[in-house]
Amino acid sequence: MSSGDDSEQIVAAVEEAYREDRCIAIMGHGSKPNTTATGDAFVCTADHSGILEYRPSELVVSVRAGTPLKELNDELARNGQMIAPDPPIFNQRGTVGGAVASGLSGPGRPWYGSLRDCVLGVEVINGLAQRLNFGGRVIKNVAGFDVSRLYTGSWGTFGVILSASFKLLPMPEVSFTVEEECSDIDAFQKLADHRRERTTLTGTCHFQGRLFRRFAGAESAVRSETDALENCELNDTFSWADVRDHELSFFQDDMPLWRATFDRGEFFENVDDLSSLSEWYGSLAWIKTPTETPPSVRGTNIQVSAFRNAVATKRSVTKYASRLRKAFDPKGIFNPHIVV
Amino acid sequence: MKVRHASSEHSSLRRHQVALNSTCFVLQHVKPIAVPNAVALELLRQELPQSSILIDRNEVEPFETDGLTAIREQPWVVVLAETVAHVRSVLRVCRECEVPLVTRGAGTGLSGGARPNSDGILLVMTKMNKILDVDAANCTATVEPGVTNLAISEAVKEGGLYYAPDPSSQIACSIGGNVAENAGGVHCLKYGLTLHNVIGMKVQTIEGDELVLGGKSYDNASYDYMALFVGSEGMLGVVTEVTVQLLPIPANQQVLLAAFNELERAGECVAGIISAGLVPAGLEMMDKLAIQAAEEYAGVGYPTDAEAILLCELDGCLEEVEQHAASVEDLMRSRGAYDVSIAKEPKDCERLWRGRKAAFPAAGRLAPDYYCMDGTIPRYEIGRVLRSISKMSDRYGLSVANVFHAGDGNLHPLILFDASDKEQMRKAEEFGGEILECCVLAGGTITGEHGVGIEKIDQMCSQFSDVELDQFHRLREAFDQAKLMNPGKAIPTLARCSELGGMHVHRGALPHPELERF
Amino acid sequence: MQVQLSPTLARDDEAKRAKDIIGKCVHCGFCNATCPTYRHFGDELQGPRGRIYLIKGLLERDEFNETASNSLSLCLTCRACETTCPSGVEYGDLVGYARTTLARQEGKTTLTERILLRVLPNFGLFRFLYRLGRMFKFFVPGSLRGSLYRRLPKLQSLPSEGGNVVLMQGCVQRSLTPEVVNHLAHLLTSLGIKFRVCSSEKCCGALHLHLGHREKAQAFMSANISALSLNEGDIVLSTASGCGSTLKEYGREMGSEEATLFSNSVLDVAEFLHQFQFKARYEKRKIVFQSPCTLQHGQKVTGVVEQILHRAGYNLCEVRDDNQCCGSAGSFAILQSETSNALRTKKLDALLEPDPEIIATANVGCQLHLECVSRTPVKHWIELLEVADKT
Repeated sequence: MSSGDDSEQIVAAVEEAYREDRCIAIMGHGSKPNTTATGDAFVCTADHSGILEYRPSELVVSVRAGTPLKELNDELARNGQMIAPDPPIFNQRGTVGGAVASGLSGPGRPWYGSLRDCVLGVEVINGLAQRLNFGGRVIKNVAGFDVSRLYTGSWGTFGVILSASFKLLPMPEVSFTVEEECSDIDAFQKLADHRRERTTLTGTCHFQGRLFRRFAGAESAVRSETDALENCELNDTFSWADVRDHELSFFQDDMPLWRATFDRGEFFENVDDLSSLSEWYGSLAWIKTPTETPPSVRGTNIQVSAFRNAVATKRSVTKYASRLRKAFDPKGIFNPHIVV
Repeated sequence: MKVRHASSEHSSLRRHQVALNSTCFVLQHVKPIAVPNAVALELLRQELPQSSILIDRNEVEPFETDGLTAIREQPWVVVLAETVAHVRSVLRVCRECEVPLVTRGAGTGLSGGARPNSDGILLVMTKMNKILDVDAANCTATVEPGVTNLAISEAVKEGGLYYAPDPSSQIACSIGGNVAENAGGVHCLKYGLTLHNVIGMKVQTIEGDELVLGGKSYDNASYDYMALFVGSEGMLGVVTEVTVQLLPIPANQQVLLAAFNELERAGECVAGIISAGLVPAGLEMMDKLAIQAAEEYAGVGYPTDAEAILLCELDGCLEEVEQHAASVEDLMRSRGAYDVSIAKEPKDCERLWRGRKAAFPAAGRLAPDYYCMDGTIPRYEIGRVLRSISKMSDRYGLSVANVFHAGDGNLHPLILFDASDKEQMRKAEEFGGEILECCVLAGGTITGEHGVGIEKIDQMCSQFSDVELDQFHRLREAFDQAKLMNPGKAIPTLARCSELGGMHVHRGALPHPELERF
Repeated sequence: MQVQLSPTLARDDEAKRAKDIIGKCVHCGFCNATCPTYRHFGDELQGPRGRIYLIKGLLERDEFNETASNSLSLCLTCRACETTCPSGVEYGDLVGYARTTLARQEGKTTLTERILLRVLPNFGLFRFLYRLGRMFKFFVPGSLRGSLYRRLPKLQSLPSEGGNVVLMQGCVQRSLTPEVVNHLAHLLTSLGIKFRVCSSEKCCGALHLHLGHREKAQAFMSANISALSLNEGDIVLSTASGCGSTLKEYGREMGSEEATLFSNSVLDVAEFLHQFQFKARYEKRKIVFQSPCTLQHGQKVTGVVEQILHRAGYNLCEVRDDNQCCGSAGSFAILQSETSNALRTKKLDALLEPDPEIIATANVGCQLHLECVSRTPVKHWIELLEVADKT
């Protein structure tokens, strides 16, 4: 496993940018789409890698930001553990720091929580080139503001993440996928029934008229639940990692791709007969459009963002967002092209 | 409207207060009772019903302290808010007249976070106690901040749902207070803290903005303001509405009670359970003194001769629970438990928990006063830290009852003392400080779930470096530039830290040259 | 919590005892959670923790304080807080002390209070005025009019057969619901148990104690102790849990040996009857039991009546918030009628949720308070029983 401490160089780079009033774009592997940066300089965390501390009996791991997420996942899996929200690994690449900065969660989000839920601590460099530690390596910690979780999903606008600690979970004993033919409305209703019960359901995916459900946990429980399902068949080959990483054939084209999230209880009504794939009980939809025009969606509190091959609509900056950003980065040197 | 006021009076008073606070907290503050701020009072009277404003000494005195009675200060005015409009009015008055504001829920906090200021307003939220909406189909509930933690679970019980975080004070504490402190409980390992279970809220800022944060969606494209506000100890805004996620009540539940002859054996058993890949819903440890106090109140059948007990709750579907309970029982016996009993009926499980949940106040039976600590440590350090605490206990000559969220490494040593004995009181405080520093050294934190408040503010200086504290202050100013909200709590000023321990070198980081010190 | 006793109270034993009680309180606030008035008002000053703090103020400054006085007059003394308190704070005693102190400090009693204290314990006067009130309802203040719905029953005197069981008849109960004791007499007779009644029985003293008139209360206590002149082994049965709760306090209130013998002889009728087997007297089987505060929190008798009713064959439904007061609380229903009525509404909502055919209770105050607005009959649980056939 790759390992190396590159933190001094990174701090020096930020110090220089601070001194000379230059902007810097932060990069890991550059695997996330729509984040192409334009700046005076890049800070790349890829060489700052390696596991800092990992004790399986603590269910906690601390790791440098440049560590490839895939390598970390493999190491955890060797000990029967995982980062439960399962952030995506696009094109086989992606760093731990990038995962935290983007804050994306995998197909298990409604059941395992979001990535921010399992971030316990971070070490960061803020816009004053100060090296700061927030949170820690323990599960419960309420000393000071919860800055480590605030950094999750901040897309590098608060500074460089040097390392992060995560709460882990044991991997489930078994994981079965059942498949059935099902319209999107039927799928949504079928899934809604699951919410009110304790089941071992840990993932849903619906596309091209087929519904896939993942059941994972103690073998006895998973078997008794999947045995009770009707008109379904077990599918041994379906890969949830492919859903997570956009490796499914659905994602393998150059059409503009949009990410839409809905409130619990709502889902994407595909009125224009677009090609779409949904996860999270139907609350997350990936939508492909023939042109760069955003898809039309209905419901309350929907958030649609351009994910790939499409241009995001400019977002306006709110008062408090800009103040927060200033609080971390008074000169505005980090990722000026990104608006969160 | 801009109101002029005697600002010089205010600032001198605040300096006075800082100086007082930096002395040992057990000293009662001898301060003028109220700063006459006639303009602010007049404005309040214009905007609020008379019955909502308390100003008479006898009326405000019962609000001078929360669950930590060693720290108290009489507020200048108490406002019992009944509506969001009342809250907004209070915020406006505070902003315009520069009056400090402390927000209080049920007043059960254990870190003095809701201790009022004698020149400020105490905004009490307990009258805002309506459940606004239960969306059982989607497992969410929206409530006002004064609703108690337990009331949420009771209101949704019929739909087969409950709200997971269950701090020991859940019978009385309010959800707004839970949000302010990021309250935990006995089920955090599996179900998380308040942060993981609150999905949306409305917050009023002192600038007069209403922020609608989070919501029923699973993620948000904006910054995670929720993460910042949960656990912010009332320093960033006033929460006026909270949306929580609910969970289906587990179909099956079993609680194992194991008795040990040695405290450390119990600690090792905890590590064993987690290493085996099991995630209990709750895993709690109590030592002899705590067992005895809890048993005396609750009479639930704890073995009072044991040196330590472990309570382990497993939940899920029947097959899973049976399978895991058998593994846990084996682990307990192989790691030295001399007796293991299993409760399978909901009533029996509830009974076993009842003793644990009343353990803190029940300690009131052991000694006139107790001082409850809240450090968190990595689990593998349990044995070592408990040994150190026991040595300290001998050195200070004060008994300690240990109650411990073993599943997540959260220690609650209760230092027993008699506050009428000033020497004991001083010792208790010093003892507590030493325990927390021991937790930080072990790689942990000074507070797992009770918050920093005023109580642990000095220990913040040992956990965080000056630059980190400075970052906290800048974050706070993003929402409250005048620093009127809960002043003097949670985040120490750099001046305070440097007064405390001289130059503090933290994790090898250099102290800050560019900051002014005195 | 520490109390710095006012120097003027340094030699006052009562004040010292109050100080010790507060010493046990750790200000955790659990008590507020089950306090009916805190739940109703959401105000610290209307919950036990706030009241304890106000009493702390009384002890520290030794001067009359209107906030404390108002807050304590809104306290039901239901003592749900005592059941909840993990630290063992004897709240009931503390409030008793504070009320006496406040009454002394204030030195005056309101007219309504004076009338109540004069009339309710006086059997003849009460019946006279009640009848008068029913005839001229129009002139009766609104807060009292509601309670005049019952026809005054004819008086029946009970046979006094000797034996070691004494039946307390109570004052209000004897006037308005004599059927309870009459039915109990019938049950005892069927069981072959001899009992006696005491014609010179006085009010138990609860009313006066509740309003801080301790000396008068103690006068009633002495009167009863000498009127009953108990022997070792006697059993005093109380059918009204409110009276029973006070009768059991005689020993502690008076401190004398006689008084201790007296209070040790007192049993709530449930504690006595649960050794016998009964059958249901009514066909209507679906019932709820409203456990009066004086029974569950005051006397700490829980689950006993429930067991008797269940064994008799009733379908006893569970009641939500069953630790909450109905709002009757002695004179509270009259002196604080607005709050009392609000609490009653909540209580009835909870009681009627399972749609019962009868509401059973164990105290005359609760019975009358609930009965005057309930469409479902409210009865003392004794009335629901008949002695089981010997098999």
